[in-house]
Amino acid sequence: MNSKPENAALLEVRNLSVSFRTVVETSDAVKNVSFDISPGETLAIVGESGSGKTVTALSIMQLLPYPNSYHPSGSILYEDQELLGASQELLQDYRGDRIGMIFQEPQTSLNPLHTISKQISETLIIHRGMSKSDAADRSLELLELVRIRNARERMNSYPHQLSGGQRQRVMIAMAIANEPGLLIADEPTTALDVTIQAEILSLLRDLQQQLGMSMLLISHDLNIVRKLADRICVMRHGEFVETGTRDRVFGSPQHAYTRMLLDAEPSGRSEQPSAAAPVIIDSESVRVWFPVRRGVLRRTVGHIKAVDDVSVTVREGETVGVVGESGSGKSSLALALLRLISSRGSIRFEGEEIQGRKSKDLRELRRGMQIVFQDPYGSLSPRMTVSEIIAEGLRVHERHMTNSEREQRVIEVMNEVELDANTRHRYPHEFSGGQRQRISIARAIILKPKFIVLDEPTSALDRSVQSQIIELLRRLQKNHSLAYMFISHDLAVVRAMSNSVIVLREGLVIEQGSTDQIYDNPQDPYTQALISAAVDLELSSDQVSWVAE
Amino acid sequence: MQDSLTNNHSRFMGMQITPLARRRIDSFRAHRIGYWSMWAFLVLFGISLFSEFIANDKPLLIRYDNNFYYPIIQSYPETEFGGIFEAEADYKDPYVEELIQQNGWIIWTLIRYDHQTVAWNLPSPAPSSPDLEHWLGTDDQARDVVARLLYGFRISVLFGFTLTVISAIIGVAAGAVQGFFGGWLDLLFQRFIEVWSGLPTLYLLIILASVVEPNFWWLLGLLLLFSWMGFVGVVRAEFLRARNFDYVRAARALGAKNSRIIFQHVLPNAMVATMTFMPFTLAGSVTVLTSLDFLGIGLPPGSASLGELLAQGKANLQAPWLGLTGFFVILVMLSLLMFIGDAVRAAFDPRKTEQ
Repeated sequence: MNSKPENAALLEVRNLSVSFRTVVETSDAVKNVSFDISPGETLAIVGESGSGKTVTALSIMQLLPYPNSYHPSGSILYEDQELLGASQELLQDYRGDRIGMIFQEPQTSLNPLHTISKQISETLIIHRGMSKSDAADRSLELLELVRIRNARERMNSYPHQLSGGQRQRVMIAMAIANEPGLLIADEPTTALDVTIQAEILSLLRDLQQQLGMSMLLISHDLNIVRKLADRICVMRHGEFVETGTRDRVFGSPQHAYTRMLLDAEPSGRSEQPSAAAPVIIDSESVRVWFPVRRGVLRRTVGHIKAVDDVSVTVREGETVGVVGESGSGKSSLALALLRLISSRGSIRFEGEEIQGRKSKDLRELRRGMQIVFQDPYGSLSPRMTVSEIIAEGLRVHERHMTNSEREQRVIEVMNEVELDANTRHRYPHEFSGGQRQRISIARAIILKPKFIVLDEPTSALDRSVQSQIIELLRRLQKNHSLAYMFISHDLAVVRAMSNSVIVLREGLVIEQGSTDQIYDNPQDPYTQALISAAVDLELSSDQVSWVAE
Repeated sequence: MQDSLTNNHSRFMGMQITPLARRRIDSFRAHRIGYWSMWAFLVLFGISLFSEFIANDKPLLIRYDNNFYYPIIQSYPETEFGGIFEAEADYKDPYVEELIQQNGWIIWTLIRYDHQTVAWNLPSPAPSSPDLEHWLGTDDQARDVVARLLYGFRISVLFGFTLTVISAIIGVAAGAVQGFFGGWLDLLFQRFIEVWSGLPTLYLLIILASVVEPNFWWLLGLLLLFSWMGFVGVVRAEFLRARNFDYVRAARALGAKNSRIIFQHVLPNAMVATMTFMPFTLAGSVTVLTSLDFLGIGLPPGSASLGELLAQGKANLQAPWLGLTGFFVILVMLSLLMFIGDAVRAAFDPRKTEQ
């Protein structure tokens, strides 16, 4: 399947370049990229964010925002038909019929006002000229094909009634409705939880074999690529740095960048703190319940239990990992421990009860506990310089400090997180994602806290940057004997960081114990499913039933 | 090292500004129509601020008996120039003019009438058509139209500015409090605004006009009671949104007080929406004053105003220069404001200038 002759290619892309024009400048997103996809083959384009992989995929469908973007050179032949610069009529014929596409974000890719069967039927009616009832029958078949349970009842659901995984299945059903020759999957599982990701990946692989499609897979995740792809193109700064079969690229990577990507998997272990280390934060049966109110009198009829009876203890120098899928209450737990949302149950910080304290009395304690957020773009105010952002804690807590003393502290902290202190008068938008995350960390540690909540601090970052941030966090922990609560959906990162792990599901603790115990010998079937989905990207058949959608 | 750091700052009119502001200014400049509209508007407004020195029935400067006199700034009795009356000299009186000319000279303003001067020596009965003396003719009370335009334009814009700025301050404050604290406060305030915005402004103005003689401040006060609500919605929405931003959470985790969070973190974001709104509110305020004057329940009788000019044009269809002048001045003024508003909106468009 891997070595088809050149002329039999289904898709031939030659010297494709894409440039974007803005008011001030022109930027080259893709530079002279060439590749082929043979019938039935899966080609993966791997690269970090901003490498141009999505732009490449969108140019095949000619879906870029023209004329702000244009192609200085290139040709895209699909079954010997030139698509680059083709007429709208011709492109509409190809889109959705011969080339299907699935996007990353299943939330926004479906129209919220139409039922899913109507949305699947639409493409059948347009391209196949089917009647409404035929199209409805066919969409039922398709929903069954993408393994939606109780497809007949689900037909008339609206997108908001489905879970993220189900929506992505509907998207796949739409993309394959006309049995396209080529399916473009742009980060198809990035927005999904690991257990669902495993299922979607096996679905894609089965469908491809069943329908004999070719697939162009766009991903930043090497594990997914290893699972699905026949051939791999590694992309960086708009160029292919390496192209080869899967076994060749993973077995003997030629380019330094590929090797760097492969080595970037989080590794190592956190140091074990001594058992006598003082307890920094200690909580007992913390609950975050949001009341559900109904009726004219707004009576409370029930509660959404975001966090239900969770007890955690974090010692000096220790890292407690919190894992769970989206909506499991990880972030709510963290925010509750820092008293950023209201909760019940006892929370003691260095032995002092902080639950029920007035916000005024709490302010002094805040210097001891800090938080680093996931989104490196949203967590820094775009209107403040880096030095202002980092120094904010000092302005709040060390009011007597002179400007030069404050400046001195900012420089020290920036050096500590390996940022160039000369850049402190710049604004956040001038920094990369990884650098911004370092700024967030600097802001958190400038007050020399005892306890830091790390809420998915590496999830928005590329793998190679991730491992650097983890190194930094480990070093800071060692130097300052920090207590961390490390929240992540990424089990590999949690394993590399944590001494003990809490597995959360729907607000409840499923399993709690030392890292090795949880990873090597999980007791609960849910934990087992989670770990096998994350590590092998695969679920056994009895685990599938665990991932009730 | 210090030098390389300060180089990163942009300056605008001597002030240090953030790169975000720099991009916005650049984007505003790139909007050519809006940019030139702003200059045209500022020039027109600047000229109108000095109306007294352009259109006045008093001379700019008098030289008499080797002394300088400044009649616009200071009033002099006729006896000063050898006349008979103790009252202020009437410089339009040929007798007074002659007295001065005998012993010195006079520099007149460009237009020798102010907005209330009645021209007695008209060639035809008022309203007289445009001629060399009266460039746009006179109105039905024989007052020079150019002079009235200058003064009328000035008061319209000043009224609009004052109304817009004060309503923005009140509206932003109200929206900020509602959006930031939310809950019952927000709920009560929202209901109050719904009821309050249902009150008929026009009838209140008519009632007011029958009780007191409305002047600039009465009108401003009454319109202010209602115009601030336009800003509440956007600001409140911005605050509700920004409350949950990570950087606001981070500030809270650092122990920052509410006041610091509001002024340092949230308000700058909310101001974007307000700034975008402002030129359009300004245009709206000008229109409101004009229409009140047109209806005769605006500024006191005799004051120069664009609405009053339109009303005269309607009453004197045989004198089309009145109506046409009013129409074109309002057209140009509102168009300029709209173009400026468009450019401001483009400049604050996050898709263009953020990231």
